[in-house]
Amino acid sequence: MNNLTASDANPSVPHHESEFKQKCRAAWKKSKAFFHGNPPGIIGGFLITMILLGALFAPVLTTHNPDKRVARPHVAPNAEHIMGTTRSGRDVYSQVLHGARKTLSVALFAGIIATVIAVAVGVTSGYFGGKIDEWMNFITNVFLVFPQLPLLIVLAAFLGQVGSALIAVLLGITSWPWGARVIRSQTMAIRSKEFIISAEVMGESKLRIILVEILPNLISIVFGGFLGTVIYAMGAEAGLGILGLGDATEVSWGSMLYWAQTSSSLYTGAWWEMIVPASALALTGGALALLNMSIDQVSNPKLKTGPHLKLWKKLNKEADKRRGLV
Amino acid sequence: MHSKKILASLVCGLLISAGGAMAEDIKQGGTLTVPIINTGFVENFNPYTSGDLTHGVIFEPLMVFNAMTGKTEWRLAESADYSDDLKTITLKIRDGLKWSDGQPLTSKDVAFSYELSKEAAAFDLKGIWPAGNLKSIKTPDATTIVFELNTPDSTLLWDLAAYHIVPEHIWGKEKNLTTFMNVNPVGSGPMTTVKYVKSQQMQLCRNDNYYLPNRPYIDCITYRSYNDNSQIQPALMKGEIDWGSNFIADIENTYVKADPANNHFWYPANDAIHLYVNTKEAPFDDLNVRKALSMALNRADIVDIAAFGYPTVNYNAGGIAELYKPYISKEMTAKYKDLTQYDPKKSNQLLDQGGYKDLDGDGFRDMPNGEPIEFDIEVVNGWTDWIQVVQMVTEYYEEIGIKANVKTVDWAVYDKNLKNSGYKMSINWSMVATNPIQAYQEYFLTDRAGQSFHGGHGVHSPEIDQLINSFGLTKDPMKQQAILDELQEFTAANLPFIPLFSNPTWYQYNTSKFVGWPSEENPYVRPVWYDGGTRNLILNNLHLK
Amino acid sequence: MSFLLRRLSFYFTAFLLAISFNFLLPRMMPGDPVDALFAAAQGKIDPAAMDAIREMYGFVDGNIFQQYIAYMQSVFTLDLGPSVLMFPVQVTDVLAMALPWTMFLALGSLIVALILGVGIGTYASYRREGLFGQVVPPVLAFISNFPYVVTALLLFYFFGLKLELLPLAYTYNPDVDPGLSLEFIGSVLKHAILPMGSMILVGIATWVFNMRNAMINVLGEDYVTMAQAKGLSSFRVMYRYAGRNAILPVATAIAMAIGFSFAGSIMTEIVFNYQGLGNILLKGIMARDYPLIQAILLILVSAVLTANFIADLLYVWLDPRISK
Repeated sequence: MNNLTASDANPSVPHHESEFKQKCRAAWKKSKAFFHGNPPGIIGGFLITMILLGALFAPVLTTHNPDKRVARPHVAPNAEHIMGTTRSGRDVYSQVLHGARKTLSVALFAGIIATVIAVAVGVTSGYFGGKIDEWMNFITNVFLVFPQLPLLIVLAAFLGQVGSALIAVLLGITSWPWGARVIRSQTMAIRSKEFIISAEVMGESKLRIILVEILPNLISIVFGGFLGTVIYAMGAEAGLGILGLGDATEVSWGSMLYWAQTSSSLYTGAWWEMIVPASALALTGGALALLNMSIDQVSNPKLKTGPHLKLWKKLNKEADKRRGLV
Repeated sequence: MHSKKILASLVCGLLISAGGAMAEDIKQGGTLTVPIINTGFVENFNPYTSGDLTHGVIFEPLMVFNAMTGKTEWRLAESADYSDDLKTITLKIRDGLKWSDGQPLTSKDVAFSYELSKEAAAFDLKGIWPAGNLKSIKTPDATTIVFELNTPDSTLLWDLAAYHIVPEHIWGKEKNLTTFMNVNPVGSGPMTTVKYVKSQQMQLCRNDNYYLPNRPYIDCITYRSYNDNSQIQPALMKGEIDWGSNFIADIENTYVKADPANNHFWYPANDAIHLYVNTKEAPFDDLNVRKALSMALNRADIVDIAAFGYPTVNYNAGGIAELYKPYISKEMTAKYKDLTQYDPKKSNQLLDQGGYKDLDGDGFRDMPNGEPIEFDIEVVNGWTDWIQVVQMVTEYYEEIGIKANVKTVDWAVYDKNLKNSGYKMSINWSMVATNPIQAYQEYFLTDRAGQSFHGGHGVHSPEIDQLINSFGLTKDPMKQQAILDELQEFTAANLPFIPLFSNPTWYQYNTSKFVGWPSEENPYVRPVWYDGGTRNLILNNLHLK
Repeated sequence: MSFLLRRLSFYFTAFLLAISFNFLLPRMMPGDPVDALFAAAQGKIDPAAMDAIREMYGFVDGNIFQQYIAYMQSVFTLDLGPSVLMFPVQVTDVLAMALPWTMFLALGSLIVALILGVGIGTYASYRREGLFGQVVPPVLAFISNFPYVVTALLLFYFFGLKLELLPLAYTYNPDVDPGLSLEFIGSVLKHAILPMGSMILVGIATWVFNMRNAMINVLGEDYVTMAQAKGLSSFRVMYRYAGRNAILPVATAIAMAIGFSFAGSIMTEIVFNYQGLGNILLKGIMARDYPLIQAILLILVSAVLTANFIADLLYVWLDPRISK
C-alpha cells in the first residue's frame, strides 16, 4: 500500500533525524514536481488518497457494523444511514468503507504477486537471453494466450466457495505475462546500453547489475504495470463477485454488487445498494488510471512538454551521476 | 361413445371452480405467454430430456393427485383400483381416446409407456423397475391396464402418475430412445401443434383431437426463454408474461403496483424447510440442546426480514407443515407447541441446566468439559434467500451464547454432506409428494440413510422402519392417518431437525387477457407451473376475459 | 518462412497445453453434471435412475488415460458429444447458436473502439498542447478503467431501466422473425447498442493511448517536420504521413485485444442477458456441463491463437526483415 502513496504522503522510514528531514524535503520536491501542471495526476492522486484513507480508517469512520442487521431492509438514504441500507438491513456506508479494505487488499495483493513474477521472468529473460529467454518466453506466451477471465470464472466456480485470499492468488498468477513481456523487451533495450556493458567489463556480478543497474531503470514501467494489474484485479474481483463466485459472506465491493443484484435492488427502487459499490469501483479504477497515465508521462517525456521535461532531465542527470558518467 | 355422465360432471366441476361461468359464455382463443428459465429452445420434444416443458401440455397425464383439494383428478384414466391384497392395480382409461395425429390411444400405448422406462433406465424417474416393485403390466382389453406388484404397496400408484404416456406407433420404432428428439411430437395433451421454435421463444398450439370438448379454451401457449429471475421481474412488470412462477423481489411494490387491477400473486405454502441437526455429534446429541436451539429462533421475524414475508411460518414440530395441512395432528401440535415459540429465556435455562456455560470468558458457551462450542451451518453457495435466513439464525444463536457460522459450500459438497451426515447443522427442504408418508420415508427409513437428504440426522430405529413400511400395507385412510399421527409424535419428541417455515409456491398471474386462474379465493389447485399435472389442470381452466 | 513455421509450432504446442489443461480442469473439481441436475430437480430423481442418466450423458468412470485419448480425438474431429444442459443436442450445435452473437459483440465493439480510438488518439496527439489533447485523453482514461461489470451495470440502469430507452435483454426481439428484413436488422442493432456501447467505453482508451504515444514518437521525426514545412494541410500531415507510420505498433496490439474482447464479452453478455457464449458458459458452469465448458474454452483459446497468428502474418507483411 505504501507504494501508492509514496510520492505524495508517506516518506520512507528515517535513519537519522537530519537525513529524514532531507529525504522528506526531497520527496516533497519530487512530488511537487510530479503534480505541478498535471491535473490528471492531481485528481487521481487526490481520489486515491481519499479512498485509501477511507479504507484505512474504516473502523473509525463507519457508523455501524457492516456485518450486522442494523435497520429495516432497503431504508432509503437518510441522516442515520447516509447511503441507505441493504436488503438485509445492513448499512451501505459502513459496508462500502469496509468493502474497500477487502477489495483493495485483494487487488493490491494480486498486483504484487503479478508484478513480482513479471519482473522476475521479464528481467531474467531479457538480461540472460539465449535458451533461458526462449523457455521463459514460451511460458509467457502460453500464459498470454490463455483466456484469463473465462479461466478464472471456471476455476472459481469449480473451487466452490472462493475466499478473497484465493481470488487474489488466482488473479496474481494469471495476470503477470503481459507485464513480463514489456519488461523483457525493455530489459533487452537497456542491457545493450553502455553503462551495462561497462559494468560487465568492470566485473560486477550479474545479480548486482540486475538489481542496481537495470531495475532502477524499469521502475516506471514496473509501477505502471502494477497499477494496471491492480485495476484489472479489482474489476475481476467485482466480476466474480457479481456472478456469485466469490465468498458472499465477506464484505467486499464485489459481494455488495452480488447482494444488490440478487435482491433485485434496481427493480425495487433501492438503487443505492447497487450504485454505491459500483461508483466506488468506478472511481477507484478511474483514479488509478489517471495516476498511471501521469506516471507514463513522467517516464516518457516525449508524451508531454513543460514541467515534466524538466523533471525528466533532472532525474536523468541524477541517474547519470549515480552511474558515474558525469 | 363415452360415458357422458362422467364427462358432464367433470366439465361442470371445472366450470364451477373456474368461477361459475356457463359454457356458452366462455370465449375461445388467445395466446398465453409463460417464462422458462433456460439457455434457449431447441427442437426437442422428448419429455424425458427436454427439461419439464411438455408434461401436461403435449403429454396428458393419466391422473393428477391434487394436493390442494385432496382429490384425484382423472385425466386419461377414469379409475384406478387396488386389489384387496394390494398386489394388483387395475387402471381404466377413457373410451375413444385419440392421439393428436388421429390414431387411437389404447391400453397398449399406456403399457408401452411404462415398459419404455424399463428399457431406457434413465427414464425410470421413480425407480419402479429396479426396485423390483413392479412385476408385470397386462392389457386385457383396449381400455384396461393391470399392474402386478411383487409386494403389497398402496403407495405405488402415486409414482406411476409421474411417467409420460407416449404413442407406441411413433416411439416403438425408435432405437435410441435417450437421444430421440421427437421433433414432430404426437401427444394427447391440450397443446400439441408446434407453431415455431426459435432459440428465444417457441409456441405450441391446441390439439384438435383433445378428448374434452371445447378444451383448451386458449389457442396457443408461448414459451419465452429467460436467463434468471432478475430478467423475469421487468418482463412481468411490463405485462409481457401472463403467468410467472418465479421469485420476484418486493412484489407488492414492483409487480402489483405496476398494474394493481390485473397483476396478482398468490403464494400458498410449499415444502417445509428445516435446520437438520447431526444428533450423533456433541452437543447436539443432547435433546435439550436441540430444544434450546429451536426455541431461540423468532420464526416470524426470520420469515419477515430474510424472506420478504412470503413463506409461511412453521410451528409444527412434527415434521410436516402447511403443504400437508389435512394430515397434521392438532393434538400433537398443541402438545409440542412450546418447542417452536421464540423463548430465549427458556433456551438459556435449558442450556444452563445442561451445564453448557461460558467457561473461558469469550462470551460464548462451552461444553461442560471446557471444549468450546462452535459449528457451521451449511448452505449452498448462491442460494441467497437461505443464506440470509441462516445469517439471521446465527444472530439469534449469538443471543443465547452459541457460536454458529454461515458456511456457503458448493452443491456437490452440500449434497455429499447431507447424505453422509457430514454436517453439524444444514438447512434443507423436505419431501414434496402426494402423501406425507413419503416425507417420513425420507426422514427415517434406515435403508434410505446415505441416499436421502433428510436422513443424515442419525435418528433411526427398526420400530420406526416397521411403522413406516406398514403404511403401504393398508389402504384404509383411518389406519394410515393413525400411522402418520404416530410419526409426528415421534418426530416432535426427538427433534432431529428444527422446523423453520414452509417455502412459498411462487406464482404471479395477470388477468388483463385471461381469467380462470387459481387464487386464494378459488384455490382449485396449488399453482405450480413446474408440475405437469397442475399445469394441465390450469391450462384447461384458463380462457379469455 | 522459418519465422512463421516457428510461430506455428509454438501455437500448436500452446494449443496442446491449453486443451490438456482444459481436460484436467473439470476432473479436478467436485461434483458432476448429474449431481447438478439432481440439484435443479431438488432431489426428486430416483438414485438408480441417476446412474442410468449418468451413463446416458457418457459420464462413466474410466481410466484417465483412455479418457484423455478419447478427449483428444473428440477435439481434433470436432465431435464434442452432447451437451448436458441441452441434452441431446450436440455441443457443436449449441455453440453454433451462441458463437455468432459473441463474435458480433466482441469484434463489432473492437472495430468501433479501434476506429474511434485511433481517430481520437491521432487528433489528441496532434493537438496535445490544446484543450482537446489535454482534456479528452485523461477523461477517457478515467471512464475506460471502470470495471467491465460496473460500466455495464451503470448503462443498464440509466439507459435500460430508468430512461427505458433501450431493451434489457435478448439479441433481438423474440417476436421478430430472423431473416434479412429491415425489422430484424434494426432489432439486432437496437439490442446491441447497450452491450456494445459498454464494451466500446471500456476498450477505447487503450487505442487512444496506443495511437497517441505512437503518434507523438512519429511526429518528432524529420519527415513530418518536412511535410509541415512544405505547407501541407494539417489533416494531410496528420493522417497521411504521421498516422500511417504510427499505426504499425497499434496493429500488433490488436491481436491481444481480440482475446480481451472475447473475455470482456462474457461479463457484458451476462449483465445484458445477451444470448452469446458468455451466458452459455455461466449456465454450463452451473450445470457442470463439462463438454460445453471445454468447448467454450477451446473456442476462446483458438480465437486468441488465430488472432496472434494473423498479427504475425501482418508483421511479416509490414516489415519483411522479421521473416529472416
